[in-house]
Amino acid sequence: MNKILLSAFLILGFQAGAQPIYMSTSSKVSFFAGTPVEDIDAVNSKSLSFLNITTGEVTISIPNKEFHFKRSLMEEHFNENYIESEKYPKSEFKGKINDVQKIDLASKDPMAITITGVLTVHGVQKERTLNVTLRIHDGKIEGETKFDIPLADHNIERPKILWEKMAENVSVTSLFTYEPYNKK
Amino acid sequence: MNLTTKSSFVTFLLVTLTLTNSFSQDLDELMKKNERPETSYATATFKGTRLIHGHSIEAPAKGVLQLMFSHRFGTLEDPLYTFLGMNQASIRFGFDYGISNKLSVGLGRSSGLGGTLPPPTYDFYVKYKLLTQSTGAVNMPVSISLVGAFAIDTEHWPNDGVVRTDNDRLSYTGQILIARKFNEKFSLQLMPTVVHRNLTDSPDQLNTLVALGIGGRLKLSKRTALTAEYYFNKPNSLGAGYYDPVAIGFDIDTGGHVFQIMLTNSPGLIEPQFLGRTSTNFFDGPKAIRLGFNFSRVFTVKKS
Repeated sequence: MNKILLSAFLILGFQAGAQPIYMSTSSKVSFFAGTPVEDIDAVNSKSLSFLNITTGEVTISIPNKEFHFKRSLMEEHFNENYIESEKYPKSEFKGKINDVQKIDLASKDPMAITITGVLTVHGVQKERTLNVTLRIHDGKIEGETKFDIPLADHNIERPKILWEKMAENVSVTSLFTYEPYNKK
Repeated sequence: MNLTTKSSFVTFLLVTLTLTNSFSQDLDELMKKNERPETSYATATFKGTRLIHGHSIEAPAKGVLQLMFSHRFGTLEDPLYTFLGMNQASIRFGFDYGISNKLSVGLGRSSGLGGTLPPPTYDFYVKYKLLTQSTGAVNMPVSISLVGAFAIDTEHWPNDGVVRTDNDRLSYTGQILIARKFNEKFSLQLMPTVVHRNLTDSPDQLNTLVALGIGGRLKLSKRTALTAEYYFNKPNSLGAGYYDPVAIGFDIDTGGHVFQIMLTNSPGLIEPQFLGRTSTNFFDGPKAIRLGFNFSRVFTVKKS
């Protein structure tokens, strides 16, 4: 009886130890929408993401007002005219890792995976498959991806009278570092 | 192993499995639980640092230099002859600079027309953004900026035998600007204002003017807006022949430039002038109304 209880506790203990939820502890989402005429780029370090390495689910939430530009006027125009952050305070991504069985938490080499999901920007949802590179070190999972978003996909108007020269495609780079999530 | 232990073991396993399962499911819920309560600050309550004549709560951000040209033409009484009043334009050009995101300073020079119209004047001001409207973790219903300004009239004294000192050239302005952005389109601002002039033209003009300004903006599109501004002076303080300044404007934001066109009865471009020296009554029509514009361009001098 004691043995059974012990093994039950061991199973419980093991499951709790290998809990599959990871939370991002640091993040950097940046984009570049410039042209040779003018640099338009911004960085956001206030995003939050959760990852379930058993099911492969990923969810990311990006507060739009936390994108910071080098020029304050660009930031004002970004919030007011393009992303309309009062109407759409967040950009989101919800998806699933396609090849979750490929992830080896003991691996020292970078792993290439793909995540398919829905990206919501400016209130418009678009399905996207992202190529992501995973790296594991010190029990942390680091995921990095780079992709282009055509502004037209998300009904973001480019200015007609141009002092700001904006590219048609915005290239996005994001880097998230995850650690096991401790339930409070 | 008897039946009871067996079944309790199974229950135990089931409970364990369900626990882990439910735990792994709801990333959405985890997201909700862990997102920090954000404070969303109101931005771009107004397009320009001036509502029309007077200051808005807005100021250039840290490291941003704004160059501003303002014109007020003559009245539209004989528009063909004067080319919409261009023959008698008063002009101010000035700079505004953001020392920090809260503190900005400015200086300007206004042209002088003399007579009942404003004299040539240098002006300096300091603007401090005391509060910013916000919702979320911090709830603040209004934005408040404070403005302190002084101006030096540089007109040659007339040869009339009256003894005047340099001190008589000075005037001071203090303003509390209280604004609320009600929604994306509509913003309103109240401007309690005090102006002190060391010297006035006649004894029926009070040295200290107390006024309450009210102004607003209604956006027509992402880049254009209608604006209006009215300063109510305390009755019987302006002296005979002077009126409250009224202005109706149209703002165009081209990204980098803000262009403001207005119809107004005031030729003045700074507080002591538009409050104290508006010599036509807006409601008298074209013979009292002038065309004017403000034109500003910002330069990011220091990138943050």
